[in-house]
Amino acid sequence: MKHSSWNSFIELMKTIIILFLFLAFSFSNAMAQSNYLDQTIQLNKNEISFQELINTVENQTDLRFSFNPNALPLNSKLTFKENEMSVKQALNAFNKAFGTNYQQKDKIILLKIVSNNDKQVSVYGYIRDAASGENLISATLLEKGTTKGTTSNSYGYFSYEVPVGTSLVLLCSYVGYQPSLITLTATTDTLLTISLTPQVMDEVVVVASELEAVQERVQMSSADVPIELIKSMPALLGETDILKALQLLPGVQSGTEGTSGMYVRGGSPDQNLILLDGVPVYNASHLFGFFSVFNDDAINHVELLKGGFPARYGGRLSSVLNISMKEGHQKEFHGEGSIGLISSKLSLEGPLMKGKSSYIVSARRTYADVVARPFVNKKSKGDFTGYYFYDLNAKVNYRPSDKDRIYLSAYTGNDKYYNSSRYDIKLNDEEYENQSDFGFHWGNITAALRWNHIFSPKLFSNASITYGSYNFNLKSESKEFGIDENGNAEANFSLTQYVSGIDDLTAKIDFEYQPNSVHLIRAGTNLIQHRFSPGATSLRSKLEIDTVLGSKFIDAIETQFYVEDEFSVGNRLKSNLGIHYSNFIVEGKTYASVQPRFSSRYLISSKFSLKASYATMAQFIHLLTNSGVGLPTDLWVPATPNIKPQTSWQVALGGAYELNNDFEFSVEAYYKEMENVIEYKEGANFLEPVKDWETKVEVGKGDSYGTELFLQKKQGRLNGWIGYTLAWSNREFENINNGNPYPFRYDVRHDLSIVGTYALNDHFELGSVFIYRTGTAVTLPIASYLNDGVEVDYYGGRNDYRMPAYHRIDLSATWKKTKKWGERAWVVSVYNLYFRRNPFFINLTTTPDNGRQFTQIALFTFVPSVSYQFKF
Amino acid sequence: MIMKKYIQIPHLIVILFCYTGCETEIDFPINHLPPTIVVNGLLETDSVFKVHLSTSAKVTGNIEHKVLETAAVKIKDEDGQLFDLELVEYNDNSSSKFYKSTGDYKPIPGKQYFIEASNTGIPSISATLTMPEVVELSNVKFASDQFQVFERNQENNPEYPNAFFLPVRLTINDQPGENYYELSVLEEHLPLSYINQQGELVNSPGFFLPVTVFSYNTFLNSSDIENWEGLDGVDYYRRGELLFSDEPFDGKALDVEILAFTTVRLNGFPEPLIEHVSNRRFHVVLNHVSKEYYTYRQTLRNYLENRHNNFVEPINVYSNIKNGLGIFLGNTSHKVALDPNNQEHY
Repeated sequence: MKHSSWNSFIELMKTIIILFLFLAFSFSNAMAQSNYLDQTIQLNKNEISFQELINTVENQTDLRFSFNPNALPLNSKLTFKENEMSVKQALNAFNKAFGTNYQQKDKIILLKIVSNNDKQVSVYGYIRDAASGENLISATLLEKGTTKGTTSNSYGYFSYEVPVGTSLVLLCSYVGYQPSLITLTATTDTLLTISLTPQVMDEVVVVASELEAVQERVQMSSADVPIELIKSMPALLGETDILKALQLLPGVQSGTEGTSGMYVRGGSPDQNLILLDGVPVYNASHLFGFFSVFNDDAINHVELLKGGFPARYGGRLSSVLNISMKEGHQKEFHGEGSIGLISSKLSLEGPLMKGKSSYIVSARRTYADVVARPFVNKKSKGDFTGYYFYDLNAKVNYRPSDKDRIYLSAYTGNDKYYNSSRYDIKLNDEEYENQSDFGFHWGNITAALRWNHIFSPKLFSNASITYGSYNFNLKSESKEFGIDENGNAEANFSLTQYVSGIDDLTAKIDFEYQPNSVHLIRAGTNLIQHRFSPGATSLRSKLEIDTVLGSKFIDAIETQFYVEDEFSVGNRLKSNLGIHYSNFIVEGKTYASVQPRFSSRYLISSKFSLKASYATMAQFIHLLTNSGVGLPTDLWVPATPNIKPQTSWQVALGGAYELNNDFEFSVEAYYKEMENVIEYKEGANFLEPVKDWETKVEVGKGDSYGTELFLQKKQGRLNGWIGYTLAWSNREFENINNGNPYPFRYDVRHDLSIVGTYALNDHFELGSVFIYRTGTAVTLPIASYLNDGVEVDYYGGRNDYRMPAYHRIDLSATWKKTKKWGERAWVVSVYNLYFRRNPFFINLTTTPDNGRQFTQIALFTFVPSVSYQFKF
Repeated sequence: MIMKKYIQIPHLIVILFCYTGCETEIDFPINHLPPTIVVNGLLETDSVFKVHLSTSAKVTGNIEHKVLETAAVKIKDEDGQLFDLELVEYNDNSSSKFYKSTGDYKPIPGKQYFIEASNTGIPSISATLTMPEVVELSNVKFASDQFQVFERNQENNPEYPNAFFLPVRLTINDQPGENYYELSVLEEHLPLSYINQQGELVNSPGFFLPVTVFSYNTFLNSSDIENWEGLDGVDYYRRGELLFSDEPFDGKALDVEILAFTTVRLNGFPEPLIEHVSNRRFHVVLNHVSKEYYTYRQTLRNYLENRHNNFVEPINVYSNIKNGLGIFLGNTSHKVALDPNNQEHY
């Protein structure tokens, strides 16, 4: 053993010595090569030609040149201030002036001219809103007259490489903004900040050919809905809702009537990665799913990916929803807000240090509880009940230099229901006062500290530390105060508290590297510390009970690495090839997943392209739910040694066509398979603490496939889209539905959405939405029987029946007026214009003759609303 | 309970939004299940074979769950011994017709039994069960000689204004392996003659009432099942008991303290209260049940709790009947009587 160690040591030393000698040789050689060029030469005059320089060097040193006399500008002259200089200085001066270059091999110097194809320079920087300084995400920069160009990333940053000396006319455009022409000669790397001015309706509108057209984009299965379009669409009760707007896109199904849940290509809501400034939001809804948590006044950009996921995204199976918050006006103080039927909101923004730093604060709250409280109190004498929700967004950014930006953003939102009652009771001949409080609240917190840095025109980085949490808390407390028979004060109490949630702490770094105009390489890694609290009930009372039921914390570590390359092959083919690796460690078990990603587009003509994509995904968290609406009690639980992570693969094929200059049309067919999806076992008691939740779930699989058609118009007075989806989505579990596959609850065969907004002039705007979709799959009883004296219904196949078809029209009208202090707008809207009784659910009810009859409950049949908006 | 309260909240929200909504009767095209034999059979070691048969009905219209009176029913044990069952009618109530074995044979713990029933025009059914072994209770005593009397709000509970807790301690002698139990307390009212408030002589016959049971061992409190009326028209049939798995104490003896919560009716009984307590006896019953029984009860409980909740997936109550519906299960029980007057306590 000793002998072996000694041999190893000798081998190691040999290796080190050889390595050292090699390095020493290389270094001395390099030094020697460098020394040749350091030789001094004397010029006999200040202005000399290239040929004269070559002659001078060869005469005064032992260096010799090799070159093609026809390729070099030998007669070109250069003026020097000094007559004495090194060979290197002289050659570098000619290189800089005439685009020449040299290579040295011992005493031989090879001279050549640098072709424009060899030397590249970068035009890079940020694209912003000229008025507010807000970064513009996915803005397009095109080289005028060509199809070459680039787009800004999530931070408004772009980099575009061209041959040195190119005279460029760059056209920068973004939906809703006037295009801007930038003319420059690219002799060196150039940092640009391009400011675009928001468009006024009467001005020249951007034509589609100036934007990166749908057929040009490599990314398929994506939708980029302008926030202004979302704001001008009709909304239920006047509450603009980003998620409900996205539900109108093909491939995205909504949940039940009025709710904001998203079911993307047959996936469940937990399979959507919803990122707010890069931080996952676990429960994106208020009021049991009726409203989303995103306040549109605080949002800058929304992008949805349904498939073809680039390698930089991971952790969910079905979609990525990337929502970026505004950064705040860089130049002036501004505000906007609205007063609606159920909530009001206010956003304030402005510079902290002009040109360097800005902020935005945005808040929203419902006030039904405040309005109702005086009436409730009068009526119920000591009992009162209330419910409200609120959102608070804040963001600060700071630019210490042109190459650095620091962002700090945060969001918190909560729903709260409360019920309190006070009454007297008599116990063992003593009078006691009883105080009872019941309530629950749930909410998200996100926070992100982000640093963007431009290392070089070719290398951009984003480093961030983020925190995200979702918690649900239910509390029931009872207190009794009184005087006992001995005249002593006595107090009894009991407290039951149920808590569940998830907390994430993430460190992340991403790089974008553009080595040349052909490749754009993205790479990065992140580390997530998850802490799951999958439902624990605490019991406390005077009866000396102090118990915790259910699980406490489960910690898990998730790491992700990715690298992707977006590259062009000729002018027609552009692809994004990447790989995503993720790793999850929980309760001593390690799961690893390698996920290849690919997407590509091939231009058949300048107007038409074919696209294809393939993506595998892994999801290390599950959502335990038994409801169709996304209740806050739904529990996030990790993959465990017994319950494997969810995985999927998806392939999509499609085509994109630009119809004249205004319309984009795309068609996509997709197929997706999912493994290890979970569902509660039939009859499992989901109200109990979930200590043994693993025993209560079934693990199964699912698939979905379909075709999506999308015709979109993004600019002009008329905006909107027509989307149609023909789809199938199934689930299969060994012990559900007798092991037979069954339709997913939100398996919707036909889904048609027509969305349009039309600006009559600067003051009036109309919005309209029409929806038609196949009825929701539903499980209904097919027999009734007596079980132990109890009348029990027997259900047939899971989701064997369909509710009647769902359809409605919504309308809105916006009347804007400019005031001295700013602008105000009245928005009147109607939800479900023609009183369609769309089924919310189907019940069995008792008829007057004690029979039973199916009854359909409709929720919203004609809901008018009005809201007042202001901006200053 | 609070979770149950919580789960109703979405309905309240829906009601809030329903100011513009509406309810419409619809004629939904359902593929009704053809009439199927429904078995309700719970074998116990202190009773002969007794099962109730009925047929399933359509879910809409006027539902009639017909008692099956013409079926051929037989039970066979694992040794091949065959028992024919005959229809027996209790009172004149049609729902009280049972198929009962004719001899004195009673199910034996550990033995397997197989049932088969057939009737013209309806698919035949079959099912199998194994009677669990007896698991005994020991050290069953009152925990105190004081009953905690709780005077309830008379406005809210005019019929049951008063109640009291009986603290009882006991030991469950669990056997290794997967076991399931049902712990209950029956209150036996002895025959009583008394003068009521109107001065009339009342002769009250003896009867049993179940009492609701709580435990400080919180994992025992999982069977918070709502009350329903049993087949015999008696509302004490399996009410308020504790149903639990032995997972937390597998193979060990478990000391348990329970509180039996019982009430005193005002109607018909004179004061003072304690006199009536002295007229009662209590029986602590430990049923050793099968996993199928446990699953059946859990699914039944979930069904009852959620049958009007549209926000959860519908639940089918567990059935172990092949080609039919219902249950064919067996329990073995061990009972210990407690007399408040003569019983020693801790």
